[in-house]
Amino acid sequence: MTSAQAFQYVQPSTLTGTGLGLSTSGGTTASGGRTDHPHFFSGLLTRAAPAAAGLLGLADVARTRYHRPRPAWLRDPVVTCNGDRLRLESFSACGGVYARLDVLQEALDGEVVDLGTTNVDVNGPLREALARVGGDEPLHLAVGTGELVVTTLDGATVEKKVPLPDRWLRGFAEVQVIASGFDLRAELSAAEAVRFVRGLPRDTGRGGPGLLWAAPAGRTLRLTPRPGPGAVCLAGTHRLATLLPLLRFARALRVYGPPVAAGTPPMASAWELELPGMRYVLTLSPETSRGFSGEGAVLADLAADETAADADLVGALLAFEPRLDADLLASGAGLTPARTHAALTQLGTSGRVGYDLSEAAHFHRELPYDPKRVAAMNPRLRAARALADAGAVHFESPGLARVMTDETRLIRLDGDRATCTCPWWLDHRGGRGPCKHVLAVRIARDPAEAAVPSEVLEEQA
Amino acid sequence: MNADLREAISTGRSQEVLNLIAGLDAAGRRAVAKELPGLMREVRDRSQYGLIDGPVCDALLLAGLATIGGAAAAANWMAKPDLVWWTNRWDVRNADKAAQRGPMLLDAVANRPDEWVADVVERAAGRLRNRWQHEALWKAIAALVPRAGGTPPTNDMFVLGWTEWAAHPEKLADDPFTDTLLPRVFEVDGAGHEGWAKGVAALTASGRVKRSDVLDWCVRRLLRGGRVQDLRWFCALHDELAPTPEESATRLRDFVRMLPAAPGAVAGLALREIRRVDEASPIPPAAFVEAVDAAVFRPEKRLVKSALVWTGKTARQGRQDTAVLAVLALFTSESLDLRERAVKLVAKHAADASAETRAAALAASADLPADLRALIPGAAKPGQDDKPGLPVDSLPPYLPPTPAPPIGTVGELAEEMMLWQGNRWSGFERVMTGVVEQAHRDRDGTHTALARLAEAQPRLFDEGYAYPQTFVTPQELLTLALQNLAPAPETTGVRALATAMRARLKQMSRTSPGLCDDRSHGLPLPFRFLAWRMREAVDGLGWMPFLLATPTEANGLVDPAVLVGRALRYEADGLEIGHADLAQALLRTPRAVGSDTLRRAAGLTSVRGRALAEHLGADGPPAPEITLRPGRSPWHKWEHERLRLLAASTPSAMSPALEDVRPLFTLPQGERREGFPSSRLWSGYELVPRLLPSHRELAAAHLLPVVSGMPQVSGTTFAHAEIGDAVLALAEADGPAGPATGVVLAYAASDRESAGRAIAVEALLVLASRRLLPAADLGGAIATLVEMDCVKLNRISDVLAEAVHAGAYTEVWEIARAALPPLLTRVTTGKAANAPRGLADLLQLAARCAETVGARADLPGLADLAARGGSSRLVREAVRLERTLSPER
Repeated sequence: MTSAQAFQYVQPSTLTGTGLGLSTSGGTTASGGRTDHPHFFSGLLTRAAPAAAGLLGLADVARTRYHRPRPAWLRDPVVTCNGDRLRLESFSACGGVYARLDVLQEALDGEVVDLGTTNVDVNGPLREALARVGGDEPLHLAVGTGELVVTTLDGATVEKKVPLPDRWLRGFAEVQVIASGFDLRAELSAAEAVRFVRGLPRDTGRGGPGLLWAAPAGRTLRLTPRPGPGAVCLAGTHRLATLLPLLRFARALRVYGPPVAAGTPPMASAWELELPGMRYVLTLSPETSRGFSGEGAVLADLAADETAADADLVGALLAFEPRLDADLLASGAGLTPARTHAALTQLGTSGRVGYDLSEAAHFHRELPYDPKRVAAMNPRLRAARALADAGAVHFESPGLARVMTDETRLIRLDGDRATCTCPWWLDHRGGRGPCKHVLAVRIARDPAEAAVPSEVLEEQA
Repeated sequence: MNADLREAISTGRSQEVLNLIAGLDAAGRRAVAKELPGLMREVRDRSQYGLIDGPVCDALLLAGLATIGGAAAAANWMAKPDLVWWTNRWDVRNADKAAQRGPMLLDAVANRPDEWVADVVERAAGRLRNRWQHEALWKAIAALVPRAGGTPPTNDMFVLGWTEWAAHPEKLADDPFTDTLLPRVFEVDGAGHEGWAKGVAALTASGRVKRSDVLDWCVRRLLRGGRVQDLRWFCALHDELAPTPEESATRLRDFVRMLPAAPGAVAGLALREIRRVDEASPIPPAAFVEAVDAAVFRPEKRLVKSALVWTGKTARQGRQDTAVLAVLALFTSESLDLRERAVKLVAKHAADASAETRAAALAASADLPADLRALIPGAAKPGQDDKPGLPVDSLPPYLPPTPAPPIGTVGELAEEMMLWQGNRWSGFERVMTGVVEQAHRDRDGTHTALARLAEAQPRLFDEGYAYPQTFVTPQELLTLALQNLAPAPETTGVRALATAMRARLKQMSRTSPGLCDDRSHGLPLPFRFLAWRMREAVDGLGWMPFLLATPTEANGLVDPAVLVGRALRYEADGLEIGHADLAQALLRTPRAVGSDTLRRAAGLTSVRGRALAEHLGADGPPAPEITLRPGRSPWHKWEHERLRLLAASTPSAMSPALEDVRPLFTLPQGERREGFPSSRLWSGYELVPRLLPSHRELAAAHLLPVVSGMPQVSGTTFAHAEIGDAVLALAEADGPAGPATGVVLAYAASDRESAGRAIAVEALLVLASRRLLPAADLGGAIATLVEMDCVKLNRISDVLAEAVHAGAYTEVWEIARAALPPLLTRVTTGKAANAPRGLADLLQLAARCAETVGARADLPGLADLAARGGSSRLVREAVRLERTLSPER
């Protein structure tokens, strides 16, 4: 389902002689809950050039459809003020690339007015002005404005209306959950990073070298078409293009990915460029044609009975922390580490926490979109519940079940592993989470699991 | 709506429609507006293809504009998909012609206030999309503009529509929208095209728009960035306008900031302008530093060279310090050409620079080769005791892949079979091994599982084609296995079944003597060998506990100790070792066998058991001599089939146990078909090295027909065999490597796909880190294949460069040392009209490697080429290599 989102700003973001003023739209703040035009930060950006280039990269990601490129809607980046740092996030129009620029304390010198999350306006003249930033001079930065701006009828306000598909929103939220399963696979020095990124084979989004794996080899990464231990999947080299203008500031390139063995199907991966005082990270979906929303990484964690209630408990402790310590959260909420993890997953799918790979920790942010829509039930889970409710699941033995629809599917359960005979499972072999048949069998086996998702919905509503 | 109006609309009589509406009062019009959508659907449903006729579209649109009250609703009506696609009638450019065909849109809105029309125009413009169907909507909007204050909407889509559907770049002066929309063309992504450059330049020259404005727009557009194809015409426009250095000087900062991140073409323009400004009057030092730093960091060699020339020319203007510091970054450049220029620049100007700069230059020169380092002021002169060469990283160690775990249960077997997906020989051995083992353990369970799978996934089994199969297929063998596993009919006793099976086995071994089964005739030999062995396994289902030759390593090797253990178990159970299974086991044993294993093997008593023991105990068959010969594929003789390099072999004495598989060793003779891939075998060749893991050269010889290319159809290769895995499997295999392996690697390094070339790099590195790379053979193969015009040297050079980056300096130097003499001699003796593309790169690569490993050599042909003189890149690289290899001269 797609509905429109209107971004409303009191004025366009501008870069003038007085500095960079990023206009804010509606969002959530620590002090006042839901606020129309929050004011987060005023002060100096001590590293202006990389910050401007990073912001341009974010804007590029936001307006690009990497799969079969064509002009797309620009959905404005999301900014989060975590106190000691500013995080700017954007998500590509195809739903397969997530970009974040973390501006750290080292590059900021000013006053934090409030903590919270909102959208910031990016427009053509601003892009041009950002491209003009260079040299070593610091730049004044304001995220939101403290002044009371009178909204007049003659067009002082900026309103942008863009369609916001459900799967785009779900992908934006789920990418955090997927990234939380990544580990550091390689770290390249600046010179090697330049060589590697510039040496990537050309891809156009319509044709290219196809699926590649970057395997650590000495000081650098080597591209191979075959997965192997320690390798990181790289599908669609053009999706790393926004790293190119940032290479001149690069200090290191870190690559993250899930564990991989020979014969592994495509996986998501993250590419983090260390810049002076900031970090620019790109998270790529397993294939150019795949968005993050279909990955199903969350389905397993939504199963447990108490997750929804735990998520509420943990959610109350967040307070826009830049670095959520899982142990502290666990003791604060009185939960076991496993349940805290499941709760964080649940919060991640609701767009309430993000994951910082470099810190290996979650951080708090509230996606500035309709929370009900972000948390809406996954279609696969919905289909599975329909199957279970219709009584399509028949157990032949504890480890073997039959799901009767138009065709019969055999589901084999072996502890945590499950296999199915449907074509979807054969295509992905569990690489995109369980199929609806497996979920239906799990729900039918343990009716308590079935109750959770609807509870989640009610709680969120 | 009265019947007359309805009739007029449905028949498309526009003038009558407007006349009738003019006679209605406000309430009447509202009623008409309300009924219009229904009428539109009605008309559409009545039409033949769901498309409304043009005149009817016109009438509906006019009626809507004349009756609908709200501006938003009217705009929505204009943008209705049913109305928008058809008509081109509202073209502002040919208004007179259009008017002859009926009333115009302006007639429909004649009674409306101007503000209302302006509102409709603005809203309808918001509904525009960049689709061809919307051309008519754009024209309809444009037709209403005169009533909307004469100013067109300026949103992105309207501007795009203007450039795409309305404006002609050479007639901009006459276009009513030019004044409003032209500035926006410089802001909207994708607006305009190459033709606009001249048009806008002409408009500027005529004085219609201010020259400084256009230059400003142009530079701002370039600064804003975007796709290079969108930006190209702005570059062309900038060139057309030919700004004076004074004009460019006012935009100097923009050009400097454009330099680091813009696309190559734009950055080239920026650097050119900066240099022009600097020539006219020197630019401020800060701008100079920023510009040179950015240009030197560009990936385009052209730009780096231009920056070096500029820096060199202007360093004397008191910029020695900045000039020297800026180019120090190039001391680590992989392009030896740029590095040398940078070093010379530093050598020339460092004397006039400050002490700190000189110290920095000295520090940066630490990793330069001795001859270049000597040029840096203050650096030690190369002494006699200097050891040539530079320290390098060693190659990453080779970690053999781990073998797949055996299939333990019937459930796992079923899963494995689904993943295998039934259409390939690769993976089939693993599946059949699982079937054999599970059938021995649980015959009924295995049968049930297979039968269920056959029901759910019929494509895994024989699909029962109507036409006679030319090949033996894996599906067919699996179907046979399913039949063999079926429980015997009640009437037949176990004894009778066993008798029947034995009889069948005998029959089989009579009718398919070894590899020469008629039905598998079209298959390449290794596949026929596998088919034979798998057929044997199918016939032994149920009583065979396992297959003797199942690999214990990922590359296909069998541990001799395990093999002897398996054979002993066969004899203990009173079972006969399979014919094909034994041959495969022998082909898979490594050359070195432990004495303990030999002692145990002596305990084997059956005929085949003894053959196994003898084979293990012997010194191993002498490796068959593999020679290379040019040949052609027989499949498409009528096409222009290129010559390719194939292998021939004349095996001498063979181990007696391997006599059965002699055809594998003799290779397909002449130009027979069975060696070549056919349309049914595009993949799966990685199993060839795994069937012959201790005979690498033999496996390479069998791969050559595939690796050298699929049959050509009409000049283009219609199918690209998936050989990447096969090349890597060859590198992972055991046994000595030689000329055939070299040719396979050379072909792989020239793969059309970058993925294939990446595999070639990996295979090279696997062999190099195992110290098994046949470097001289590979070099020779490269030279031969380039001469035969079978491979592209530039691709191979890139592959070798990647290997060098991973640390294979010594190996690549050996390869280049073998490849260069024939290539160079051909160039210098004039046998080749032109030097092959990539030869200069290979020379440079050789120089880099030789410099690093400290090689000294005399390559035939090199001195001749270097002595040619001139400034071509080839000669310069030859001179450099010559200097590196024999610095004494």
